[in-house]
Amino acid sequence: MSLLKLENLSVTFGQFRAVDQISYTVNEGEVLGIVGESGSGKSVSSLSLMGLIDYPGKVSADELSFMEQDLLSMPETQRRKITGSDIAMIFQDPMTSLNPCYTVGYQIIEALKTHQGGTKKELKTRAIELLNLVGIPAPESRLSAYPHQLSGGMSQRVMIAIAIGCNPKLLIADEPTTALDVTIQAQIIDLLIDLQKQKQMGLVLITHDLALVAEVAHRVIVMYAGQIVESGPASEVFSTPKHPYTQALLASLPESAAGKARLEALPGVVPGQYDRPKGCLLSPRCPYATDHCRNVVPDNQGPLERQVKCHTPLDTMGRPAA
Amino acid sequence: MLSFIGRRLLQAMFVLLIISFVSFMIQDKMGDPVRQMVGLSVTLEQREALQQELGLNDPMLIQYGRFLGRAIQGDLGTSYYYKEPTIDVIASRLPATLELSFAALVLVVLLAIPLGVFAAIHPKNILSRAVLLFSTLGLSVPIFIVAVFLMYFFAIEWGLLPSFGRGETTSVFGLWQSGLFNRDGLQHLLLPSLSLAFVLTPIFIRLIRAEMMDVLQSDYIRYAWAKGISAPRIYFIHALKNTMLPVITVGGIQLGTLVAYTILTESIFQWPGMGLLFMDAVTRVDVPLISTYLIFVGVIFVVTNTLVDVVYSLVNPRVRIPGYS
Amino acid sequence: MVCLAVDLRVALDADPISLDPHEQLSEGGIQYSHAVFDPLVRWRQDGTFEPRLAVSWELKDERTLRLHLRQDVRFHTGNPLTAEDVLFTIERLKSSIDFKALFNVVRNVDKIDDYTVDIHTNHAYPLLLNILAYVFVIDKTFYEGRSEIVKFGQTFASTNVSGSGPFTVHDRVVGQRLTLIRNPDYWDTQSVGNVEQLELLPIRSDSTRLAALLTGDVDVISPVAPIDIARVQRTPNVKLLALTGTRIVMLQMNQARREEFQDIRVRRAMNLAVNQALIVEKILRGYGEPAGQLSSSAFWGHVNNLVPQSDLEQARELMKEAGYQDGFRVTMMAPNNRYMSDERVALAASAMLAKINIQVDLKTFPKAQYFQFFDQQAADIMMLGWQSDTFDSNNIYEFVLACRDADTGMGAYNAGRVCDRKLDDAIMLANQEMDVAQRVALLRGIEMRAVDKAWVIPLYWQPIIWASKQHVDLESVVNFLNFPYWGDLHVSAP
Repeated sequence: MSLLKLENLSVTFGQFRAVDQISYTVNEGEVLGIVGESGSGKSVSSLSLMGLIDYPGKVSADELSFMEQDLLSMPETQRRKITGSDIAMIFQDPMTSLNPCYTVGYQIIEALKTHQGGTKKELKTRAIELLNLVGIPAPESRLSAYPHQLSGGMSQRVMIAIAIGCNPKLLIADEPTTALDVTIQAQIIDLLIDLQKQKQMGLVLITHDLALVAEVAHRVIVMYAGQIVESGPASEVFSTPKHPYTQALLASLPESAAGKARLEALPGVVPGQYDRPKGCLLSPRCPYATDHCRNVVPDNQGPLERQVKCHTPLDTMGRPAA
Repeated sequence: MLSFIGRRLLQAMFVLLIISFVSFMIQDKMGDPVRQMVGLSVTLEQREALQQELGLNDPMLIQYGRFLGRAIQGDLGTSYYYKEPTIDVIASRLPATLELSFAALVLVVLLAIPLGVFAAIHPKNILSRAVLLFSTLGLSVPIFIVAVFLMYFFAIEWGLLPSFGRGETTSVFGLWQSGLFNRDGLQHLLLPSLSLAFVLTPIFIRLIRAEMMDVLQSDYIRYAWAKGISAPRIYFIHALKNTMLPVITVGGIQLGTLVAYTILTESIFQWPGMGLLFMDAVTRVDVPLISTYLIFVGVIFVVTNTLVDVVYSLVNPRVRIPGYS
Repeated sequence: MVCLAVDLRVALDADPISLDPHEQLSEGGIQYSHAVFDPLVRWRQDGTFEPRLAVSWELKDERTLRLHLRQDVRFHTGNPLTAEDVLFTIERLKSSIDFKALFNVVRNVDKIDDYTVDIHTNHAYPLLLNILAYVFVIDKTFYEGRSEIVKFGQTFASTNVSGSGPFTVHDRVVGQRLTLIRNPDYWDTQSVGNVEQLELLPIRSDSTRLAALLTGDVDVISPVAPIDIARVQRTPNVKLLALTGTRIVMLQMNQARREEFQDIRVRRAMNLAVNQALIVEKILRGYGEPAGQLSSSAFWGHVNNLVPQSDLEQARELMKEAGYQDGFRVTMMAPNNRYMSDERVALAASAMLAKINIQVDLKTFPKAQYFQFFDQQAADIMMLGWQSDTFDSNNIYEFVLACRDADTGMGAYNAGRVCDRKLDDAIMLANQEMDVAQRVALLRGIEMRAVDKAWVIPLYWQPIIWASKQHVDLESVVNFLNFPYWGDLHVSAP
């Protein structure tokens, strides 16, 4: 059973389409990586899942369901019940995600109490368990610590503890390591993957770190300017990218620039609200763009498990099909 | 905490010394107290004799020295008009002013917090706009107009409330004359405290609203929504505590304005508190009372500022506990 | 005979500073004294003297007045009132800073018997009864040994009372209220007064005091600001009582400071330029009376045909004659919280003087500072309001027109630096002239001379304005001295 199914999800802010008709699914036990640069709409799409898009944003979709239940038409109270328990999310900057006025213990227990209830003692025990689980030493004393007393890595562990506290079926991690030191990043990712395997959660990992996704994700979707341009198994997408944008992303990695004086990058910038091209969104920048590309919006091509939104997807040699 | 309070005490002493010194130096400019005590036909000679008796002819520094000497023993002078030690006179009027201020603050809290929070959560609601309009009015209308206005409608036109004074008081522990425990006293308290509240509430509504709107945009609030926590809890537990931090600071500063406004309110409602006492003392050039009042107000400022700091540090753990760095 | 006993609440602008009747000579103090003590004699509305503690008197010789006292008077303590108490009282008055000047003329008092005293004066003194109206007799037995009068300190007498008056002091909270209750053993059984409890409350703000009356929280108020008069008249259940008092408000031109003021034409011109009638009409709303002289009509020195003149043309002519056609600049000071509408009157006068090219730089001050400036004569023109303590013209002349003499205290309020030998002589004579007709002629002469020489600019006699609920019969007890005799106040059923 698919945990999460999106079909043609769009999020608009007035005239601006932050997310433009994207569709994907997440299955139990699966790690889905979502990559893209800033402004690609990757975070917004997951915020809309959690119901965190406020006015003036509008969310619309053909289907937006979690475990076969339609999230859009669900009554608010029911949706609030799922949020934070069956679907959990952790954010990018752990230092600002915890309320500075309350202790760590208070905030963990609060989450547990909201969804599970229990006596003070039970809750406290569970909180300590969770802190242990995420690898925080001396958890009893940490309960009474305030967020500002914790380091970045510690804070993120606490966030993860809160997120998994209610045994979520789906965990969304929005750039979980971006704000952390490199050495800590690896630890946090290891923790996440361990927990994911242990609990067989679906994990949506949103990041702009391609190497990370390549390492841990089962499947990956690449987003550009609010659209999904390519999707498929991670190994395939990264070894033989079919979309020029994915190719460009891989080419711009420092690893690929061995020996060169400059990093490779596509000229131009991501289209914003006012300069959306008529045809393919990448066409102003794509080295292989034709007039056809510029005028006609490309369809999704290829089988469901390996889609690409391009008129001339690249072949195994990295050149556009004729 | 102890060292903090200790330092504050020292600061207080310093502040009081300066206040007393200044109030002494401006004595000359306040007028002639002897004139206020005697009839018009009393001769210049006799007035001068009185001045001599009161020690008003000695050089300022000597008078100040005398004052300090007595102050250390707890004697801040004797009021020319009340003929009692100034400390006793002020202490007897303190309950009235404190109760008035307290009542006003309660009203401010009861009004400003719900209205400010509501206006922050539903900024486009017509009620919120009305609240903002009302707060603009409150900021621009002087307190004596508010007071007279309230008096006109509630006392004169509709005859619902009394127009002046404190009414009956009940004695609490034999020390404190309180108007809070009987109906008459509360009726008399309503209009003056409402006037005061009317003038102070707007700034707090606006402040709470602005702060709250800001706080509601922050990451930890977004995260709280993501945790599935109920809306009331998010507004009143998560957001409000953070909102109150700058409000407490501003509130502390506003306490100073409260003292000024109480003087006006008391004068209009003939409320027998410290403010009215001070106004009368100025008119009568009751110099010892004026000096003591100024010192008293200085003490009040220092105490309230200290309290505010203490409260602030209790609410904001980042101040109290050193962070990770 | 009391049929209906009522409680009366009176709101004034200040409360009495002390319960000691001899401590301060002030309007509020005397009002209080009349309620709790009795004077030897009392003014009537028509200007004659009513016997009170003294039932009759005769002049034994021109320096001795014999008084016969009532024999049935008891103090609040129960002690009987006798000549001893009168002696004690007058001694005390002579030692009181505020009253000693008034009683200077009394050399000593002899007790003839328990109910007869002889008052000896230093010289023939026509105003003896006027000052005896201030002799509020106190209980010697009660006060003896602890009767010191201290202005700025606590004394026994300032907080403990035994008088013989219609009310006793029941409760006092300084600055808040003074509660008096009727003396059931009061000797004046003819009095129609039926006030059982009298509460005197200070309400500083004019509008609050008015509000208190309009809401019914108090029954009587005074003073009423001119701006509030219309409101009182419009309200059906309250009424206004206004009479012209004897306090004269004037402007004094300092001849020592400005040589221009030494020219009589300039002074006359200024008198003509200031339109007193207009000031009273517009600023005092028609209350009070425009003054063309210093003595009010209640005083002997009043001259009927000395009305305020206002003639701008003639004023300009005079200025031209004097050579000041282009005018000059002067400074003026006035108080802003002492007399009724004092600041506005000063402003109006300045504007009027500007019409004859006298540019006035006006500064106003609260009374606390103003009188210091007055003593220093710090401006060319100073405003002054004078209430004669003896309710006699000569008192005004002594303080305001007589030549300044630091030793005798004459001319203490002469900010015009007027010094006229003839005037001073007349004043001295009037102080000793026992023949009424002669004295009146002397006083009128002084008044006419003062007006002729235009030494001051009289403005108006200040009105006395009270307001009360309809059923309070204030007219019977409020007099031109503004000492209401509360003991005689009759209040009908509301």
